[in-house]
Order: sequence, then structure tokens, then C-alpha cells
Amino acid sequence: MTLAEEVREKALQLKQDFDDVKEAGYAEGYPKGVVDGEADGYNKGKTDGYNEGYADGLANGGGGSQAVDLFPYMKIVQFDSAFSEITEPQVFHLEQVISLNQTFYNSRLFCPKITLYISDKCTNLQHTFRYGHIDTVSTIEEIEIIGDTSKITTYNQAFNYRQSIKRILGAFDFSSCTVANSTTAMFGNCTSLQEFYPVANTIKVAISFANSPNLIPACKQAIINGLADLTGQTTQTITFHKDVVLSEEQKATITLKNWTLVQ
Amino acid sequence: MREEILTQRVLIADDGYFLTNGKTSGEVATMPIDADASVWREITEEEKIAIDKENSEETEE
Repeated sequence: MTLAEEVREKALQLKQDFDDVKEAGYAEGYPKGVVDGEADGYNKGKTDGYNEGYADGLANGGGGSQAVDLFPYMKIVQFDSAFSEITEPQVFHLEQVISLNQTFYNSRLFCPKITLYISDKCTNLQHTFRYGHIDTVSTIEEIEIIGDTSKITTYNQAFNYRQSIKRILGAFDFSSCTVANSTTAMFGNCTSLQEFYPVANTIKVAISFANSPNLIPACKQAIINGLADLTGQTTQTITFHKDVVLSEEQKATITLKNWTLVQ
Repeated sequence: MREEILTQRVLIADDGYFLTNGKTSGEVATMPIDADASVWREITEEEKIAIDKENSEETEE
């Protein structure tokens, strides 16, 4: 056999081997694909069909109970400490709620943010997010309260002991807070707090940010702007952490409004 | 041109001490000149901790 013939014969053998392997692979792969595809298809069809059927049945069923969001109808809301199982941001429409007293009291909060929609029906934010003691476990960083806060008469210890909170957003109106302890320890132990924005000229009783050294400049100014002018009335105190730097102009604004600045 | 005459009374606690009016405490109290300074007294750190704790425990009306 010549070299050329030998090469040609080997090439033909290689091609035959390739074809044989390909055919064997196909023979093995095809039935498995049929089985797996059928199982996957069956399961997906079953799940999708079930979900669609359930939703349709729920929407169209008569005489039975329907899954309805009851939060907009609640007047008082208090969560169990088992709220700690929730890790996604949460939004609650609580426009009918009249009291948020202890709503998240002593709950470990691992969701990054809680948003509460309220209305002027709400008058009580006492202990709303208070923890039982210094909270070194929770990881929540942001709370936002959206709605009319002008009828709230107490924020007593509303965020006390919550060390992880950095931002408390919303326009907090203190117009209806006229009792001395309505703001007591509102931000007690809020050591991470950076942002809080009161409505201008509404704070009329003593308020303290003594545990919050990290207030951003905009927040500091907003707090000072939030102090009502108490000229002719009893002097109240505004307490900032000793590391919070205030300009001489800011200090003058505080005392000109008849407030005592404590640091 | 504007003129501002700032009249303030500043109470400064001695080193290692704090000022309190029974509700809040700090090292420096800057107040209007005609504010009642007699409500402020000097306390030790231990007393400050106790007052802060008492105010944190103070609950609903």
C-alpha cells in the first residue's frame, strides 16, 4: 500500500469513528432529553397552571373570603417580635391608623427600610420603633414616614435604642407636641443617625440628639430651622452631641429663638 | 452693613463634670442672656449616666 493510500484509509477510518461516536452520543442523549424535557415541561405546566387557576378562582369565586390587604383599614397596628423574619423592604399603608404606639416595639428589624404611609388621623408615635434596650442586632437603616404628621401629639421614645438607623425620612411636624415628654428620648441611643428633617418652626418642647454625632450638615440646619421662636415663652433646650459642629451663626440662631443649646 | 449684638450666657462644666437641668445634660450650655441659669447644676459622669438612663426609661403620660 502506498503512503497516499495508507493516509486515505486512515482518514476514512477516522471519519467512520467520528460518525460512530456521534451516532452513539445521539442515541444516548435523545431519549434522556425526551424524559427530562417531558418531566420539566410537566412540572412547569403543572405549577403555572395551578397558580393561574388559583388566582382566577380567587378573583372570581363568590361567597368565600378573598385575600384583601387589611392594613388600610386598621386603626392600631402592633407587630410581634417575629417581624425579625422579614428581610425585604416593607411598605405599609396605614392611612386609617390612629395610633402607632409600640408598632415595632422590641422587634428585631432586618429589613433595610420600612415605609409607613399615614394620615392626619394618626396622633401617636410613642415607642413606635423603640427597642427594649440598646439594639446591637437589628440592621435596619432607613425609616420613612409619609403623610400628615401635624396631629401627632407624642414621639416619646419613638426610635429609642435603635443603633442601626441612619435615616429617618419624612416631614416631621411637631405642632401638636406641647407636652414636655412628647419628645423624650425620641432619638435615645440613635448613634448612627445622620438624617432627620422636622418641619420648620414646629418644635416647641425640649428635644435631644445627644447620642447622634453623625448628623449631616443639611440635617443640622433643618433641626435648627425646626425650632419654633419661643421669644416671650419658657426657654427650652436643644441638645446636640458634643462632636456635632455648629457655626457661631447657628448657635446665635438657636439662642435668638430663646432656646438653650446643650452639648 | 448690619449690626448684630449677640447676648448669650455660656455655662461650661469643669473638666470631668457635666451640666444638667434634670432632663438633659452636656458639657456646655449656651442660653439667651435672660434665661434662668439657676436650673443648671454641675454633676459627675456617674450622675449624668443615671439621669440619662432615667430619662430613657421615662415612659408614657
